Amino acid sequence: MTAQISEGLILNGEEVSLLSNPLDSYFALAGINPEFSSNSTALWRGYIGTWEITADRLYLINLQGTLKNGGVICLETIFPGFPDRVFAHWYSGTLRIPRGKLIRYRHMGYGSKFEKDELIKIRLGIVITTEIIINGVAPSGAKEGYKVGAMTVFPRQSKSEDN
Amino acid sequence: MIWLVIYIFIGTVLVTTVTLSDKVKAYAEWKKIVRDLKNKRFSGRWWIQQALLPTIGFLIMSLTWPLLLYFWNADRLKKSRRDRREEETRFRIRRADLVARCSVAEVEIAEKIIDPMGAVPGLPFGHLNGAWVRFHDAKPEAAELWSFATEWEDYWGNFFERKGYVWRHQEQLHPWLLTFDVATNDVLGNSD
Repeated sequence: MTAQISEGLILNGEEVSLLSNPLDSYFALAGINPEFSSNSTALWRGYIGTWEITADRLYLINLQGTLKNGGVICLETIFPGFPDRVFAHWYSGTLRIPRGKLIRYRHMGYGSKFEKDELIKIRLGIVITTEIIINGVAPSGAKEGYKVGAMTVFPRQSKSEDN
Repeated sequence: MIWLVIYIFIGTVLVTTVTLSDKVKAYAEWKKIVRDLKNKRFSGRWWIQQALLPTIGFLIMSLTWPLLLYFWNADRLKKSRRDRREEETRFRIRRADLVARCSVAEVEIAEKIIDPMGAVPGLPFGHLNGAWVRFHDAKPEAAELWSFATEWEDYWGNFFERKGYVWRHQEQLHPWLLTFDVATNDVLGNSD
């Protein structure tokens, strides 16, 4: 498996990488399974969500992706009537935000290790606790920020090819 | 001496049975051998692949047939253990998981979700209302609504805290609606 492109999170006005997929819980609990199309080995889930924590609440504020039928998805595709903001009340778990420099790259899932991890515990969409875990010190010259090292991109089938 | 003869006889019968059963399955392979024989296509490679190697394999297996039985039995036991584990870890609600009996009206009031930014529908269970409606519609006749809370261990040994509602009908606890599902394992478990 290839390292996966992260979700985005706006936290205190700063956009950071989010190494958790709260939308997966939604699909599981809601019993729905939208058929996202994946055109890259670095994005098997087929979508990228942008989240925001405001007033200790987790919101989904943007969603990008394509369905297998070629349809482009946005927030309203999954949450009709809510084009701008969705309160993630279904989500309970820990959000992981990588901080500092890369200690060890792992080309699988969200497996890379960073100097620190900011962990935000969420219960039913509301922030419960925030803690910083120190994982170690990166070697000199190590890069900062979450990135995927390599991926294979597949050509996307156009609608006309489907027909 | 008689025991050696019996041993080799059992081995021969066993391996012949297994070989024939495999060959019957691989009918196309048989047809190819027969076709080669008819057309007299016997290259050196043919003799090695179709005659020498199978004969050596047959002789070895005839002499070491207890190993064949051992591996066959080990494979059967492994499959049986896997099936049992799958059955044990299949998510189900037990009577001990039931928390309280409730009415639909009570649940619909309790599960209204309020958001100051108005980013949730004003319906029971908010964005999960569709799942609630399907669960409600699937109510078995004369069933009672119960809330449940449980800790569940999945096939791979991960633990989850799960909560929700279930229809209780006689001793059946089904269907259920999951409203809370959180892995209790360490979030960094996959990063080391």
